[in-house]
Amino acid sequence: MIYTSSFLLFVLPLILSTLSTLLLIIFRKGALARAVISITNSFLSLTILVLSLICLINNEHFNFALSIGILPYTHYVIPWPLYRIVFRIDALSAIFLLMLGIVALAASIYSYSYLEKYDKEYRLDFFGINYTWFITLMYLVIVVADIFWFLVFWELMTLFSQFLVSYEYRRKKAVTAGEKYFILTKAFAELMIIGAIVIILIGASGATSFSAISSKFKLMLYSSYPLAQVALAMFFTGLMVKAALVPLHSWLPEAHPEAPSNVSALLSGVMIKVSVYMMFRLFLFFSRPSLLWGLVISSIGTVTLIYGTMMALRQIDSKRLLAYHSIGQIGYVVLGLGACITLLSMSPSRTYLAAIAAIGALYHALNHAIFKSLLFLNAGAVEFATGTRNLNVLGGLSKVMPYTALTALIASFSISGIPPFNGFVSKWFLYVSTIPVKSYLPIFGFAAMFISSVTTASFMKLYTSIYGRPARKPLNDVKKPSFSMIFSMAILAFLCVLFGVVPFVPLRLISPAIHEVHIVKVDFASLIPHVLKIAMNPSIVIASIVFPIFGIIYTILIGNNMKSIKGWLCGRGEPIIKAIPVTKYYFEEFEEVFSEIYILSDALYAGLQKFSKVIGAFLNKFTKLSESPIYMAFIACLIVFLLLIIGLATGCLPG
Amino acid sequence: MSTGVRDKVAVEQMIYTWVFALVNALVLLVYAPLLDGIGRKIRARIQRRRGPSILQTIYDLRKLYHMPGIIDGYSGRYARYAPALTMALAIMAGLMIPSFLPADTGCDLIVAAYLLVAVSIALTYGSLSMSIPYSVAGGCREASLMMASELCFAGAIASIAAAYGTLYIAVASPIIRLDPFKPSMIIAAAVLAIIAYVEGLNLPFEISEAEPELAGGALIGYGGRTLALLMHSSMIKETLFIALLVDLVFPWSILGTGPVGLVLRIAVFTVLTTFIYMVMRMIDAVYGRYTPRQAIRALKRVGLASIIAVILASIGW
Repeated sequence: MIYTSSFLLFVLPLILSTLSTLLLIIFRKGALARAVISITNSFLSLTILVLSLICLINNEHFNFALSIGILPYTHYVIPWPLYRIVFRIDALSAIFLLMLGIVALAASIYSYSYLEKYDKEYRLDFFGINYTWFITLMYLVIVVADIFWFLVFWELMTLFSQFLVSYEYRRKKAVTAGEKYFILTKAFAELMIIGAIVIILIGASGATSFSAISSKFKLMLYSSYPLAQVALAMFFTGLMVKAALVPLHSWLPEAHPEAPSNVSALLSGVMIKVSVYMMFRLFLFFSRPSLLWGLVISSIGTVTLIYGTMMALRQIDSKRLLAYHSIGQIGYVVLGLGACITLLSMSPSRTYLAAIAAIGALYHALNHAIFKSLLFLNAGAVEFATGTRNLNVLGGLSKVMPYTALTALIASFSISGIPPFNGFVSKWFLYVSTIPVKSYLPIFGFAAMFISSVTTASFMKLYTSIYGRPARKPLNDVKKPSFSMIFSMAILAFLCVLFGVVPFVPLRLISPAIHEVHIVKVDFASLIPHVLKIAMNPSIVIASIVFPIFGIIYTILIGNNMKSIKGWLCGRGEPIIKAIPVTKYYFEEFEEVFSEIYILSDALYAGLQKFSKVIGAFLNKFTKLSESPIYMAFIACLIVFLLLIIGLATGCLPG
Repeated sequence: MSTGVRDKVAVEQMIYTWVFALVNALVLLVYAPLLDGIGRKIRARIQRRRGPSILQTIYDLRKLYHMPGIIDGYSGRYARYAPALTMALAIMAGLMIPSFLPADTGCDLIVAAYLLVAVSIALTYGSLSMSIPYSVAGGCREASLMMASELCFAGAIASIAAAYGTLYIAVASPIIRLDPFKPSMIIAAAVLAIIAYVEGLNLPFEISEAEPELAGGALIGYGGRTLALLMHSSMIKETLFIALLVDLVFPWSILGTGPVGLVLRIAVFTVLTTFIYMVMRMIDAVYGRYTPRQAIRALKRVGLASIIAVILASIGW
């Protein structure tokens, strides 16, 4: 009975997705369709959220009633006509489910009013079905414990997300962005599949479950080291594309801005993290930590965070700016993972520091999920209200949309890492684990710290050009966001503050995940004093002092005594700043002095374009060749021959 | 020692720490404008003028605090809250960063850096929310300068932390003290001094005051007590940058502990910060203003030096 209740909770998302699909077949248009999308997906997200919290809280206290049955290592085996799918919800997957639950809940509540703009022009049933299954497939990707089924769900997730990116199919940009996203992720997923095949056939002797691979693949690292590394590299490359790590990032700045904002929140907030989840499994659960992979991953993370953030500084489209920041922030997360792998491979004395790096990476992933989805929902609310995302046109919205402005300010402060908001705490963990170490890591930590100031400047531009300075066109016809939109943004803003001011709450949830990836059994109580020895986490102190002082100063010195004076307008009828577009000021000088980074970025972009042209030409040639049966027979023989050689070389076939 | 006694000692220590921190923050509220007054006097004397009294800045602030707050009528909502938030963050930094008294609040270099930068950020958000072009131009320049100086600051912090394996600024028994015999630490100390100079908006780096002949740059949209709060916070921030430099460079352990050690610390800290401030003002008085490009370019060069310091520190030099 107890087992059944937990099993029901586990399958409830699938039941809700099916129900949502059936209801959308009946209610295809208007407010009813929006209500179905919003309500069913809110319940779906809530189920995921509850499931993750039950798992995490139980794991932390070790006194979770077995009666509920949702424990790490609990396997749910569903009989399947062709195969069986093994699911597992451990602390690591539960952390990513938590991200999915929070973001999907907020995005689904937000959807009811936001989707109003699509009522007439687009099919809501099509959106709803894709949206529901996109969430469900992300859920399945995270909970599945079988590499074969992981790849199946992964591909389906890509497919449904591509439909959502191109949802506004009447706009050519959206369709092109969707195509680019699908082609790139699909092409590199093939590499991932080849890597997985090598891992399954040679590394795990045909076993596909995570636990079997974890025990057997490590042996392959001893017996067939080069092949194992190639398999890891291929799998990692596939994950890199979905995580939008440089140089395989080019789809993200096109795709995320073109999707509806509630979908952008899910893409940036959760989907790119799903790759990070698998990276944790791949390098810490399946494989042994190695210095080489530590260096590669932390270098890629650092280059990604520099590239993404510096490019974001140049943008004038609010969602494109946020998309580039998604690249930048995922760089921080990957840097944390790389630092963890590096520290683990260095010496056992650095295991605690490695645990802190891993916690920093997971904490930042969770925080990024919250503040980035909030920022995308903010951008969506602004687009909903004004019909534009162009920073050159927007302005003065803090007076018309005060709640959206407040939540945007909280999100901007959070992503900039201003204490005591959540971004500060997770960045602090990343710095503490990378900077005070005698290795190459301080250089990466230094880059991350510098780039944090660029993030801050970029969000100063975003916030003040939308909400601060006067608008360049009258704001009379601004559509105010509805209660459901404000409520969903308020939930996320509250979490930005909560996870910053009370970091013990997310830390308590995250620390068991470290054990799942075989780092060390980090006891929450023993970890914190260790961190305190290195430095002190002052979030609570800062919050409990800054907020009251701010309140006191504002009440006593400013309050209602503020005189608002409309100053000299330089002889014009309106503030002169209205006439100047954002591109004409802000950080022109900084961008010019640090032009080397942009030159390198442009060169990288040109190189990628050239590469894609070469690949395109090659594929064209191959298509022509494939029309000839003789060539195809020759290629088939070649593949069989290569497989035979690999089999003989690795000892899988008798010599 | 029994648990009860240990708890009592810990509570006593905590009370001392926060009383010390409170005293530091309160003294800074007066000391920072006093330093500014000294700076104004020095500049006047170098320019062969008599100059105002060293208490003039305090008088100016007092006068402004007695006036109602004034703000640009076309500005965004945030601009109203910026002065109070900036001051709250400056006071917080004053509490956390050890200055006159050895308040061991557990502040580390990251927290110190983020709090000090947060003061500029809170102010700049306000400036950029104005409708006045001078304010926006000043805010943009302040932000550009912040990014460039953060490159240097991050480098200095990373090299110090890599060299000592910690970020913690322990006051009673300093773990971090910039070793004059290590090349990385010499560069780090020099970079920290330059950052303190730049963040004090001394010439030639005073670029955020877009057109000071006409107006007050980033602060032009404010008047009365809102202006006082912003000016006062900037002065506190500048003093704290110098305090951080002094904290890291001076070997505090030689002063001993107890009441005598405390008095000596107050005296040494005051003398050192005043001396550094005076030297900065002397340099300031003889320089012209950089253009924004020149200022950022100069800081980029300093940033490159700090990268070298990080590399040297990570290999143990």
